[in-house]
Amino acid sequence: MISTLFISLLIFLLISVPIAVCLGFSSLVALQVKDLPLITLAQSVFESLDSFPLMAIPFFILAGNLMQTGGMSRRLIRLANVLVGWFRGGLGSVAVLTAMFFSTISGSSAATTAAIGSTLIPEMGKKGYPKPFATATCASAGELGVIIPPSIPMVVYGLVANVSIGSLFMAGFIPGILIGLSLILTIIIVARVKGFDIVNRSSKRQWLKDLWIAFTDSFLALVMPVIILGGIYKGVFTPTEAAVIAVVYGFIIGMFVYREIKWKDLMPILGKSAVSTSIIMLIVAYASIFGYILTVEEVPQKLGKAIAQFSDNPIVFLLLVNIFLFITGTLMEALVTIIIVAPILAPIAVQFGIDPVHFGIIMVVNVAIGMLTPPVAVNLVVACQIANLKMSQLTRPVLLFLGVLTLDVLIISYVPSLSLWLPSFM
Amino acid sequence: PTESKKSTEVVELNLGHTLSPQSHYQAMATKLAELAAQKSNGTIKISVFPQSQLGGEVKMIQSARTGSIGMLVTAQAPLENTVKEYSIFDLPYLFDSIDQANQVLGGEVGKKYLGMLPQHGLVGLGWLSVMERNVFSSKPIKSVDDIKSFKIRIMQSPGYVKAYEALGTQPTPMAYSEVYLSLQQGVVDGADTSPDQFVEDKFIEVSKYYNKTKVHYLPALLIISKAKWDKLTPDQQKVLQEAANEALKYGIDYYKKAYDDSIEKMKKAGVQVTEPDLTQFKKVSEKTYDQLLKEIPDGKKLFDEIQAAKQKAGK
Amino acid sequence: MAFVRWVDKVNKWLEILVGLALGVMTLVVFYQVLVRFFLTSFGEQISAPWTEELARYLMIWLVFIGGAVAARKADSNAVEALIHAVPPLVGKLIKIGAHITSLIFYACIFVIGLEWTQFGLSETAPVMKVPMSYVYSAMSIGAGLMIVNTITILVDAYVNKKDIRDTSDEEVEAALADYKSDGKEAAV
Ligand code: NA
Ligand code: NA
Repeated sequence: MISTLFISLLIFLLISVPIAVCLGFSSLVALQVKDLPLITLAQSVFESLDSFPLMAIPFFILAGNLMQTGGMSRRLIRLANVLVGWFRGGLGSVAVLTAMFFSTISGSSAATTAAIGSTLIPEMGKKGYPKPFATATCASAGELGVIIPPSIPMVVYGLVANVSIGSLFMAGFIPGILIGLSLILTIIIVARVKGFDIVNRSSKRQWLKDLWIAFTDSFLALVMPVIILGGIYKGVFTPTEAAVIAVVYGFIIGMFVYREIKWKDLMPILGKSAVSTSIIMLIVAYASIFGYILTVEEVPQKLGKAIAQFSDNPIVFLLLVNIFLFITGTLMEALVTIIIVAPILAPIAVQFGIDPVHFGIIMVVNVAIGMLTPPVAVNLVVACQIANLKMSQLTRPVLLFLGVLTLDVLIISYVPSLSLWLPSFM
Repeated sequence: PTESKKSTEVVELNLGHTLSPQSHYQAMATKLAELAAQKSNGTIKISVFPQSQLGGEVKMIQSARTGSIGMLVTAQAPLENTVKEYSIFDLPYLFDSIDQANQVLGGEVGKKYLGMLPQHGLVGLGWLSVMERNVFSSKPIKSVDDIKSFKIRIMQSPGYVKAYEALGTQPTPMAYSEVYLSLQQGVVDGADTSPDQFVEDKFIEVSKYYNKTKVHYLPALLIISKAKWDKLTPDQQKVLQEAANEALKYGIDYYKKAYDDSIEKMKKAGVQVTEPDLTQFKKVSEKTYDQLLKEIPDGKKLFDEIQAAKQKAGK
Repeated sequence: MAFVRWVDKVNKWLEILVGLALGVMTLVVFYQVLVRFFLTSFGEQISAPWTEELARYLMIWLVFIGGAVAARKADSNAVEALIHAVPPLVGKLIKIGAHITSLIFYACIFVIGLEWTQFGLSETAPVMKVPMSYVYSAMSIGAGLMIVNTITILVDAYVNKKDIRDTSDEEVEAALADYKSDGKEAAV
C-alpha cells in the first residue's frame, strides 16, 4: 500500500498534475489497493476543512489584500523603509521584521506568510528584488509564525509529549530571533552581491523629517497590530477572531479614512481572496487523507524506531532526528508530523538526556522548515499564490534559505541554552 | 457472511480514540487488544491508535459506519448527530455520581441505548466509565452567583449550551486546542472537563480553580464497525464481547484511580479544588429539561426510564 | 468559441459567489466577537453558537467552488520542471495527460461525493439542525465544476491554438496588469 502511495504520487508529480490532485489521487489508489472504502477520503477531507482555527487563513489573506488596496501596507512600508531602507537589503529585512511582528499575533505560519506576503512581495518587486527571491523571503520568514509564540504546533506538541506549553512558548523566543536575524543577514548579503534594492541617501535632518512624516502618515496602520496583539493578550479574541478584526479594521481604514478602497473594488478583493484560499485549503484537505494512510500503515512509527536503534550517541541521534524530520517534513503537514512523531520520539529523546522542551523546539523548527519543502509545503503554496508564481520558479532562492535554516536548526539542536535559558526564569 | 471465514484467518482491527497514551481509554484499549488476542488464539489482532491519529470522534464514527476503521472509543456527545436519542445524556444533573451513572448504563438502560446503534452501522460493545465534567476557571465558583456572566468554553451540544445559559453564563464556541491559550490570556473565564483530562491537557498550568460543579456526566462507549462485526465468526464475536466486558471493567476501575490521582496532583500544583453547594445549580438548570426533552424522540419516556433505573441504583 | 465564453461567464459569477461567502464569513465571525465581548460588557446574554458553525460550512463551500474557479485559471501549483525540459510536443502531450489524470480524479471525487452526500442525510448539524448533506454536497458540485473547467482548458487550447503548457490565461494576464498598474504611485 505504501509503495503504491509513493510511486503514484511521484508519477503524478512528475507529469505536472496539480499538487492537491497528486495527494488526493495517490491516496485514492492506495485506498483501493488496501481494499478500504473510498469514502474514507471524504471523511478525512471534511474533517480537516471543518475547522475554526483553519479559518485564520482566509481572513489573513483577505486582510492582507484589503491592506494592500487600502493603502495601509504602502504607508507601513514607507515608514519601514525610512527606518531601515538606507542599507542594501533593507526592504527584505523589513519583510522579516514584519514576519517576526506578525508571529506574535499568529499561531500559524501559513497565516503569517499570507499576512506579510500579500503586502510585501509587490513592494519588494518595486525595489528591484527578483520576484522569486521576494516570494521565497516571505515564505521563509513566514515560518517564524509557529516558532515565535503563540504557536499552534507548540500547543499540540505540549499535549502529545506531555510538556509544559508555557515553557515551550518561552523557549521559542530566542530561536525565533536567531532565525529572523540569520534571514536578514542572508538578504543583506544577497542584495549586495546581486546589486538590487536601491538605496536612497539623505541628510540626517531630512531623514528625521521623513521619519516624522512617514510615522504620522502610517499611524493608523501601526495601531492595527497593537489592537490585534492587545486583543489577544488582553483576552478579547482568539487568533481566528483576531484575523477577522484585522479584516474589519483594514476595511474601515481603507474605505472611510484613507478612502483608497472604492465600493467597486470590494467584490474583486473578496473573490480573489476566496479563490486563493481555495487553492491552499484543497491541498490541506487532500494532505489529510495522505497523512491518514501513512498513519494507518504506521510509517512514521517504524521510521522513528529505526532511528533509535541506529545509534546511542545523543549528537548522532539529534542529527538523525533532524534528517528524519526533514524527510517527513517534505511529505507531511506540520501538525500531522507532530501528532504522529512526537509521542514516539520525545520519550526516546529523554532517554538520550535531551530536555523535552528543547526537543519540542527542535521539532517545531523542523516542521516549520517542512513548510518550505515540496510537495507538501504550505508556506510556498501561500506565497506562490500571492505572487502568481509557480513553485518551480522559486527553486534557487528557496534552496538558499533552506541552507541558512538548516544551519539554524543545527545551532538550535546543539546549543540547548538558546531554548532553555528563558524558560529557566519561569 | 459469517460462515465464509475460517477461524484460522487473522482479523486485523484498528482501534482509534482521542485521548493520550496515559488515559483510561488507552488502558482499556491495550487491555482489550491483549485479551482479544489471547482469547481468540491470535486470530483477532487489534492495533490501538491514540490521540486522534485516526481522526476526531465525529470522523471515527463516520469511518466505523462505512467500514473504514474497525473500532473506536468515543464519548456519547458526538453520536448525537447520528443517533438523536443520545442527546438525553446532555441533560444537566441527569446523574448524581459516577458510580450511579455507571450502574445505570451497565444495566437495562445502557443495553437499550446500545441497541440503537446497529441500524446506523455500529455495534456497541459496552460502556466505559462516565466522565465527570467540572468547570475549571480563573475565578472560584462557590455558588450559582459566582458562575454568572462567565465566558465559558463548553462542547457545542445544545444540552450543554442550554444548561450553561440557564446557569447565567455566556457559552463560547471554541476549538478545544485553543482553550489553553484562551484561558491563559483571558479570552474565556473557564471551561469544563474531567479531572484526568484537566491534568493531562496541562490546564493545571493556566487555571487557578477546579470547581466540582458536576453539571454533566459524559458517558463513553466502545464501538465496533457493524461491517467488521458481521465479518467475524460467531466464535470470534463471542470472545471479542467477553474481552470487551473484561477490558471495560478494567477501564472503569482505572478511571476511578485516575480521578483520585488527578485531584491529588491538582492540589499539589496549587490548584484550588472547590466543592460548591449544588442544590441551587440543580434547581436552576433543571428548567431546561422540558425544552430539551421535546427535541428528543420519545424523550419523556426515555427520561423516566433513566429516573427509575437511578432509583434502583441509589446514589 | 461560445462554449468557452459561456463557461468563463459562469466562472465570473462563481467568483462573486465565493467572494460573497467570504464576506458573510467575516460578518458572522465578527458578530461572534461583538456578541461575546461587547454585549457581555453591557450585561447582555446572547450566545451565538450558530456563528461558528455557519462560518465553517461556508468555508467548506468556498473551498470547493473556489477550487473549481482556480481549476479554470489552470494549475498554479504543479511541478512543471519535466514538461518544459522535454521537447515541446512531448511536453504538450504530458500536460494533456496531466489534465486527463485530473479529470479522472475529479470524476472519482464526483462519485465519492454523491455517496458522501447520501451519507450526510443520516447526520444532523449540531447547532443548525440541518442534514449534513447540505454541506457534504459541496464536494460533488465542486468536482462537477472542476470537470467542466478542465475540459474548457483543453477545448480552449485546441480551438484558440494556445500552448497547453502555458498556464497563464487572459484572466491571469489581466490580474498581472492590474498588479503592475497598482504601482502607479511608488511606495518608496
Ligand atoms: Na506565532
Ligand atoms: Na514540506
